[in-house]
Amino acid sequence: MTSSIRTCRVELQASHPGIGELRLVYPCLDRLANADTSAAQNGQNPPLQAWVNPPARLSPYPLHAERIARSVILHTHNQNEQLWVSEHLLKSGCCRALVCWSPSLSTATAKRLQLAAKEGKCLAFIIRYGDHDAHSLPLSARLRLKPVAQGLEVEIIKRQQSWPTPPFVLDLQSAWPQLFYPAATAPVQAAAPDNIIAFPGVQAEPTR
Amino acid sequence: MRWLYLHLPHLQLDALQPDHQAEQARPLIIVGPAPHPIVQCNALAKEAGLKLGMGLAHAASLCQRLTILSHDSDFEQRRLLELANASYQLTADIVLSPPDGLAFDIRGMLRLYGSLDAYLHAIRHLLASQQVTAVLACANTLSAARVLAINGIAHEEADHGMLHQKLGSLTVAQLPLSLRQQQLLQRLGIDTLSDIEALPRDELGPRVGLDILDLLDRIRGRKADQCTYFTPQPRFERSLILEHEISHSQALLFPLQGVLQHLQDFLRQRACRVQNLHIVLGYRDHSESAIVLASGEPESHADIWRNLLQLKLDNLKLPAPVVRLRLSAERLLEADDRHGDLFHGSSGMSPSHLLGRLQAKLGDQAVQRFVLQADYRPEQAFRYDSLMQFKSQKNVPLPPPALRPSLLLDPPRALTETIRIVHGPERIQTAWWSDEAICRDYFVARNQQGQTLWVYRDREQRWFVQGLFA
Repeated sequence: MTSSIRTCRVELQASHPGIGELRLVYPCLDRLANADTSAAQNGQNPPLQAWVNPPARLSPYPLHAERIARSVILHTHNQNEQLWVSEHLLKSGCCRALVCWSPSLSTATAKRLQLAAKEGKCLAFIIRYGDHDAHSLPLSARLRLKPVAQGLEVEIIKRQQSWPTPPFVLDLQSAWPQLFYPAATAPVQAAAPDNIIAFPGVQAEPTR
Repeated sequence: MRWLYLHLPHLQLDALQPDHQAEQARPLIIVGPAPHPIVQCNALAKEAGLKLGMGLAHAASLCQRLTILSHDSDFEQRRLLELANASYQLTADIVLSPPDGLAFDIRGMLRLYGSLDAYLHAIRHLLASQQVTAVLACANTLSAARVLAINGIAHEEADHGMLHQKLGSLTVAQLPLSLRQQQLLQRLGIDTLSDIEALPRDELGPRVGLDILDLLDRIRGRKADQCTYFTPQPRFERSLILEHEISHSQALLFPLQGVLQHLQDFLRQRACRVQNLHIVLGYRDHSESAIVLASGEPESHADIWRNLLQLKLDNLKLPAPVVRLRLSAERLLEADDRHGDLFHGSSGMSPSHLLGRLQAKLGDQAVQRFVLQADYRPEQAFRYDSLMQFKSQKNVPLPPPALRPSLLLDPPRALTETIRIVHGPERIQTAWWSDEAICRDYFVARNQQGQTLWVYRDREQRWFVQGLFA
């Protein structure tokens, strides 16, 4: 993980909740947590991991034990509070990663959060559900996620310092075989995509 | 010289917080219980011709723009204790003399400070910082110092001849004698203490009362006073009475700022920190409400408490105007040395500070952490706990090595769509010993939209969605 990715903000546009959007986020958070564990052994305060406004009860079981201890779940009453909280967490410097479920985001607020994330060296994921118009927000990256039989179809709508890519399929089946149909019984697609990419950093124990 | 007595005639008046918004001060009096004599009045009221002991109607007829407050003796007692606690930093042996006096045993202190002047300087500095007016009198006995100070006769030097003279010229009315004794002496033409001393002791006792001999002995230092020394409380408390009513919560910050500064001094002197502050707001109709200000970790800095207070006050709605404030801090914790990182500390904020701020803004229940529980029921396998109760878990039970979704619906919703089962079943049957016994077959399933659901079928063959594999 390079240092630049630690401060970026990624927006994930998932068509529906529960298609595997958090599974994209977990490995990244794990790596940050591992890096922080070594720092914590040097006597530093372990940084926090914040979850803002999850749409349902967030379960700790898919998380690493260290991350459970560091996780903070925040519920806000309105959009303004959510912004205030997110900005504070991002800016504080003691929050390593933020996952925020946000229904809407304006350009101005996105910019504010981007600056706060840069100041506090915090990685932020914003998860939104449904189809949104494609007006460009000042964020580091923006991905659109759609469920397919083998995993997720990912379209990079925008990313910093590079061109957007055409949609590709991320193979989650090999990492979490229990969550997908066996390949043989998978409904055959009209045109099977040829650009399937294996999920990076496959964990030994997927559900832990 | 052995005793210093501080007579504090204006405890309640001094504690009043001046109105920042008013253009000019107004004459103010504090009246006692019926028949409402004036017990304290400010300089403007004195200028208007008001005197202590004057009735309320008389006072109101002399001065039109008069602010009238009723005397609050409970408040004065608390304030006296606060002052005794504050003085403990300067002097070791303190005797409380309710309702409005403090006596310091200064023998040892004179050796520490070198001279009486240096000692009195320190005391006066303290009084100024606490914003109290006091009459100071030194004498050889507590009674002598007290009788001087109460009558407004300051004696702030170590001159024994002068002291003897001042005590001798005390009038009978100024001595703590009963009314009958005073009248008896005055009728005999005895006006001052030295006149009484000129009488033969053998005759004086039986005629006026034996207690007068005792009093004379104590004033003149032939007999020691009995007193119990004050022991400081291990807590911080400060009360304020507001001269003007505050109806906007943000305006409460101004009077409380000073208190937080006192708190910081108090904690620094003891090398302590506190985790919670209690602020009691007294409303106009004598009802009260309390705010608890919690910091993520023990803290002593006034600035940090101020920020937390500001956030808390943002969300506060006052039901009625506030007239009294009391801030207290209990459970002083010893400060542990925290070392900042010289090279990596990108921001001065520690996680617990941050959480404390978030909590102050959002409320206690909005900031939560996971607590794992050893239970197979998905609803009971973990819970959220607010930070107040959160203790770092020593023995975290390991999560069950099974497939669990990351988002749980609470309560589970009935399954209403067509799904295709991907994995399962996994039977969870437990808690048969309690009322919440469950027997469920869990499946992983996908619906038409491509969502991966965690569904279960109960004994009655009803299907529910309980989770989402996000």
